[in-house]
Amino acid sequence: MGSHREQISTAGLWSLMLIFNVASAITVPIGAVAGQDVWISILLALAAGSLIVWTYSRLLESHPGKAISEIAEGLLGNWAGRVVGLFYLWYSFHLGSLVLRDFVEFLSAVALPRTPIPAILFPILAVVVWGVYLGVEVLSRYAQTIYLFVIFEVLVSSLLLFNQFDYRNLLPVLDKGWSPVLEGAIQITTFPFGETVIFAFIIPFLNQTDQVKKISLRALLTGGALLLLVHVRNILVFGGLTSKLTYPTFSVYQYISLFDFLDRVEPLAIVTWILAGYIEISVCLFACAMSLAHVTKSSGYRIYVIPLALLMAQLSRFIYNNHAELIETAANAWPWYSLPFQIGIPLMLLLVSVFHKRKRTRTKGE
Amino acid sequence: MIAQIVLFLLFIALLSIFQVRSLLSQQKKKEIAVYLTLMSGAGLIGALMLAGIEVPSPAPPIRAMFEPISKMIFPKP
Repeated sequence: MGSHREQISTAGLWSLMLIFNVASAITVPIGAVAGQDVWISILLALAAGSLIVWTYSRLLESHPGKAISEIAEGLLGNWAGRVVGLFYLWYSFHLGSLVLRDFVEFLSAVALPRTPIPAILFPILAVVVWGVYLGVEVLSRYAQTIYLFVIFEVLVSSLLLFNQFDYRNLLPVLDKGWSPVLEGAIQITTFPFGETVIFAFIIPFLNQTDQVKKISLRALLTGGALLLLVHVRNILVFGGLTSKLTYPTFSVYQYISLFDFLDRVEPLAIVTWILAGYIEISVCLFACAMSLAHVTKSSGYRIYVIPLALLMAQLSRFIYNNHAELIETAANAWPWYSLPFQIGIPLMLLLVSVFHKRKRTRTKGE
Repeated sequence: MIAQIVLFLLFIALLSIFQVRSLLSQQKKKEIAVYLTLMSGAGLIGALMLAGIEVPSPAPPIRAMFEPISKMIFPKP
């Protein structure tokens, strides 16, 4: 790739962020604690998620072409930059291994129950390494080719389920009060909306630096609308059962049946999962390799892709003993654990940056 | 099991030799050091996993730290 500086278009960034938002969240239950009120949780989470997205995209927009660790270095000095880089190195690494675990778990549960785990894990890892090695341009173009399929698939499957809808499944509203709804909202804010903070390592490649805020917010809103549609649809079909299912979207596809002619379409859910999950894992691995390159001040990130991918695969295997542990941690610990990464560090850097700028203009004025 | 571990370590070693050789020609010493640290980590963890020895997971400490916050804010009966 030599001296050519990689660039992604606004449409490329939008589709990458959209797919990253919805990839696993359309298949796994989100905010299950809210039960049939999950739509309120998603709406609240969209508001909170916009705040997170606004904070980091504002920060990145005011320092065009720089990743979050480079911004920290410019504002707070060499060591602070490295510490921030290390934080995001760990966060994207951890997130990547969780996504990988989820990805493999789903495929092994619904599609390939007799296949040994490594036989699922290593092929996807090889493709991810290849994509990340080729660079962010390739990933964004891939996202641009598949996003229409994902949107189309969600819309058509919702239409086909129309005859199964029962609006009474959404009642009673707020039956257990606001507490579970708010808890669900916090879960959804941090997974999937706030996780886009690792785009802080991809946004610097955007060719139109003044569009960051607009594009990120637009991607968040589109993703949020899709998630709202998917989860309301699942509840309209399953009602109270939805939050007890491991993969409600997959189960709901089994209910699609038209004129005894169109049925058994659930492999579509698996196809979407593979196509979109690929983006999620790749973006995590890319952010991870980029932040490592920043921390060690290396000349390129590519050399670290293979070792990080191997370590990510290993962590994904030993981090949890079983699926119950995964769900328990994702629901109770993950939201609070990821808030500092998603809003804490970006907000702090944004405040410092605004303060710096004010000071500079004041000294110039004098 | 031992054969598996040997094969895995061989795989790691081959990958490392292949990639380090290209780095050596470009005189990138720091990159080589970081690369080899990561690769030996991967080799060690992989060997432990193949040997059936439990590798300490970062999940329990994270849960121990953050679950109480969740229970405090949203108490469950």
